[in-house]
Amino acid sequence: MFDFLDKIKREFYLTSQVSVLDNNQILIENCKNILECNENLVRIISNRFEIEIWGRELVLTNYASNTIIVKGKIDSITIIERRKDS
Amino acid sequence: MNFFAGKIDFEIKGDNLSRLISEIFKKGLECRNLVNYGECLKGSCNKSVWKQLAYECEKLNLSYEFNERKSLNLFIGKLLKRKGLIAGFIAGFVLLTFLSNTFLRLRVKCENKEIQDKIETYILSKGIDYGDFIPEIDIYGLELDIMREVEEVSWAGIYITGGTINVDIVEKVTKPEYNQKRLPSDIVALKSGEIVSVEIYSGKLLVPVGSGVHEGQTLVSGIVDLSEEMTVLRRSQGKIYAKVTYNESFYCPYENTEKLVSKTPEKKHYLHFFSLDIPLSIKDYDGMYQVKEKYKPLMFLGNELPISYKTEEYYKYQYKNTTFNEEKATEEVYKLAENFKDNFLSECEILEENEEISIDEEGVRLDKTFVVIENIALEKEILIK
Repeated sequence: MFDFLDKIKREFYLTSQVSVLDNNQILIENCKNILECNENLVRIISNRFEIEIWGRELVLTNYASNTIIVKGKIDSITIIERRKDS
Repeated sequence: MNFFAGKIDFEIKGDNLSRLISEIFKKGLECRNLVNYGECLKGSCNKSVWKQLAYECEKLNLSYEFNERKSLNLFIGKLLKRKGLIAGFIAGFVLLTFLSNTFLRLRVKCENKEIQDKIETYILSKGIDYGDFIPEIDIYGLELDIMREVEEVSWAGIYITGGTINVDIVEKVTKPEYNQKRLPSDIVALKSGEIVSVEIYSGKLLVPVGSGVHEGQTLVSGIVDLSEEMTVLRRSQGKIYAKVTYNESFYCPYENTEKLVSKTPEKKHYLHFFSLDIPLSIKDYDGMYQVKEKYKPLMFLGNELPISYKTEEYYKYQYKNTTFNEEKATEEVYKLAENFKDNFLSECEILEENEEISIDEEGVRLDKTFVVIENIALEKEILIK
């Protein structure tokens, strides 16, 4: 059942997609919100994960189609699974 | 898009910046280069997005500063505030449209200056004047009229460039003068006189040497009888020298009125615009003057403008009474006689020259008689019916 649901999410593009271009640019599609953005840290919430991007001179560009581009000198990307509080 | 719409660089300060960022994302407000420097959020967005963003800032009690970057919209907005520029632009556009449809200049392309002047005069005499509206001029009709009515023109083409009417002309090839070498002719006397000598190359001499002839008399005939049955017509050629008498009278009065014209003129300048003369000075000249007009068209990049600089040259003249004494008057009449000889008798051999001078109360008269030998032969065509 869960595999089927995962498959549907993938087929209907309901999952977030993270594209990394060298260490200069990250494109994140299907985001839900931006938690934080400063020069060194950008925190973004996608469907199931929280994505942390650490680096230097980071700038963020968002588009109306729930897409975000983070540019700058990227040091690390951390993807943390979000837990739903009961 | 940024070129047309423009871009706003903003700086937002306050406590609720994280909430603002959240709102930005939720409402799909597209921003670029967003960076949160602790208590300051910097970024850029479109003008249309900024309005909504400014509204959100105000809702969250955040202060903001923004800077609009140069764009076409901004430029047009600034331009619209300067109404003088817009008025000037519209006026310039109207003036250019008016001038390009107004007859300002006529250019005739023809190598012969006389034909060029004739065509210019002809076109202007057809009721077409400087300042007329070009679309109302019947160009095709004018071409036909020129070809029909100006004899020297074989073909005429008219085209318009801006405010100039250009006329291309192809001249007619003139026929060479008909050579009458083969036409039979007689020789008649040009003047009355006594024949002194003859040189006949062809034709039949009718009048012997030594006889007197009157003006118009046939001296050599082109109708030659070769035999009783055969008569031919020939061109008569030759020279007939005769003694001719000229009786001339020359008179010089003691009191003479002479017109003296000054050599240096007074000048008055005008600006000639279409057919209007705008004076450039307020000078006025009283008295008797001979006036000459000169036009100098103004040039712009090698092209003549319809505005020209007109100069009127005023040559003052006066009548001067000259008084001669007898000696001076006599000298004058002899001068006149010499001029006559130089002008009319230079090619003749003067045999005799008699003179009679008479002096009265009013002047001196010189009556001169010249007896000269000159060629009085004149060729006259025989008309064949």
